[in-house]
Amino acid sequence: MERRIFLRTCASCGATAALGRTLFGHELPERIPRPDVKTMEGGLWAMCDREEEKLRQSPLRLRDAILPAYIQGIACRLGQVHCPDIRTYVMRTPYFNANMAPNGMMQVWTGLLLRCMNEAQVAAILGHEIGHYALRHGLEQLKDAKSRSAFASVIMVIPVAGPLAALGTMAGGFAYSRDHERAADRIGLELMAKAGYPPMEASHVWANLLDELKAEKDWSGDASKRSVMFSTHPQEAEREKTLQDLATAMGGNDRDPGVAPLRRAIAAQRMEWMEDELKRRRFGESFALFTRLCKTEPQDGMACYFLGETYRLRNSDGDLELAMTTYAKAADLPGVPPEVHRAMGRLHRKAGRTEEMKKAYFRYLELRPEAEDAEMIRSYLGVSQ
Amino acid sequence: MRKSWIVLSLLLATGCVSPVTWVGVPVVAETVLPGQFSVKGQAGWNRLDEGGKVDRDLWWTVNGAPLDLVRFFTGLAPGQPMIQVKGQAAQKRMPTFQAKMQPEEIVEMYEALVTSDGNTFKRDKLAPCAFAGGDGFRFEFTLVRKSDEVTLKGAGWGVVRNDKLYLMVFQAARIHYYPDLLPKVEAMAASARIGA
Repeated sequence: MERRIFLRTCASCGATAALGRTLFGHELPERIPRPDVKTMEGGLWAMCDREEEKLRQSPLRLRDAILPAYIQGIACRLGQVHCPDIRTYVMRTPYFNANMAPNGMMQVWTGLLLRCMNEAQVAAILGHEIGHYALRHGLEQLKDAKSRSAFASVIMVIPVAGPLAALGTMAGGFAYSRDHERAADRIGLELMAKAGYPPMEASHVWANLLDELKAEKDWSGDASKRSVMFSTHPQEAEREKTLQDLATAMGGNDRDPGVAPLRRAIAAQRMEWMEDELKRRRFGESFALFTRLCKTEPQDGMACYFLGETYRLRNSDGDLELAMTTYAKAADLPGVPPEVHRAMGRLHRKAGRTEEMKKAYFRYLELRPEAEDAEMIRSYLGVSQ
Repeated sequence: MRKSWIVLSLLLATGCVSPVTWVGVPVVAETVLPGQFSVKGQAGWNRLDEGGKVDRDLWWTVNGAPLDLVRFFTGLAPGQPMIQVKGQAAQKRMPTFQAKMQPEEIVEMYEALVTSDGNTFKRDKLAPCAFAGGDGFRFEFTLVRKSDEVTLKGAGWGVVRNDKLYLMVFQAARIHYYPDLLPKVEAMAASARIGA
């Protein structure tokens, strides 16, 4: 797997060299040498290095053999000469976020990966973050007196916070200007295009995220109050339009966005992330997300099951009936987890439909005989081990 | 004088000054909690005292709440949330107890409570278990606390009696504190009873 990613990376670097200058004339600056520790930038890197060490130890960091290497491979295809300096970490947390520190440490949260519909959308986010890094926006912010003051006020909190909490604190401290965000957007698009991705996918990322936020009952019309990704970034409508216009001008939007490679890479963890998503109890957002996944891939049994779970947990008028209909549909689709039968058994039990309950629970136990709740389910069925 | 102001300001800024205090739980034959729920006394426990406020979410600890914690939810009535949280929207997201909830839904309700600030929860076991003189359930879980990324293990016991929920949940740092205190907490759960 790693060899394949390495070969793809090399092939991409070759293509980059052949393409030369881009449509907008931006070239990534050269590799950033490690700054002297006595300088302001050196101090910043030292602090980031300490955070990175904590991140490596974090129980929330994904350590499997496939996904981290896959994400690192995408970052390398995008980062070109910066590849050796970029270190990506996939963190299990159900929110949409990614961040790159000035020393080359990049965090990608699983809530973001769950929401990306294809590899090109992941590349759009990673390319944006690499843009901040390569253009040294972190240092520029630190040089700004106002930002320095804000940064100093939060920096004391970092030593006692876990890496994920520290990320939020650091992001608050850096709070890139909207000009920086626009520049990073543009660089991100160019990196995507150079790496062979359709640049239009970048605008789809933001459109999808905004649709989710709007689906919440308490949507106020202000995305910046609901997601850290909108808090410092350009106005969402302006951003989407700009990204669309740039992508149209760049062309190449008929390229393969890479749906299958992303799905393969996240397959082992996808169910766990969907469970995490529901634990946020943002049912409007979850409903929008799972509906989008089901519509895009009508044969996606897992997404369909979790759409049913969203109905069940929201439990508004008529939701349990909708949950049952959705479970029943999901049960016939490929990729549905055995838990769909447990979910149906639970609703049948609540409704007093004993025969249907038994059938569903027995099917669940047949498929998951060692389930952690098997003993409980057997007690519902009145059977012993 | 100036120094004491600085110390006070720092304490306030770091949240070390709090209106709540920890007080020792007297070792008596039976400690009665709200909802006529009681457990047999054990040495070494401290309870969170919120100035005499009677809550249905009671906290007990031996070494400090971040290291080990037992929470009691005693006599939660239908329609009640496990805790009151600040903000209407946040409160609406907090599930409420329903008399017909199945054990897995009660565990889900606890899970929603402890993951609302980004913690990661995994249920490891759910099985029927006698508790407080009734047919209840016992569950085990693993929790990764987001604020400091410490891994905790936990065990909980629950029963629904007269349409009210009685739940006792223990969670402690996986290393040392959980295995050290679990036998004591198991004994406490075994001694639980409801009624005068």
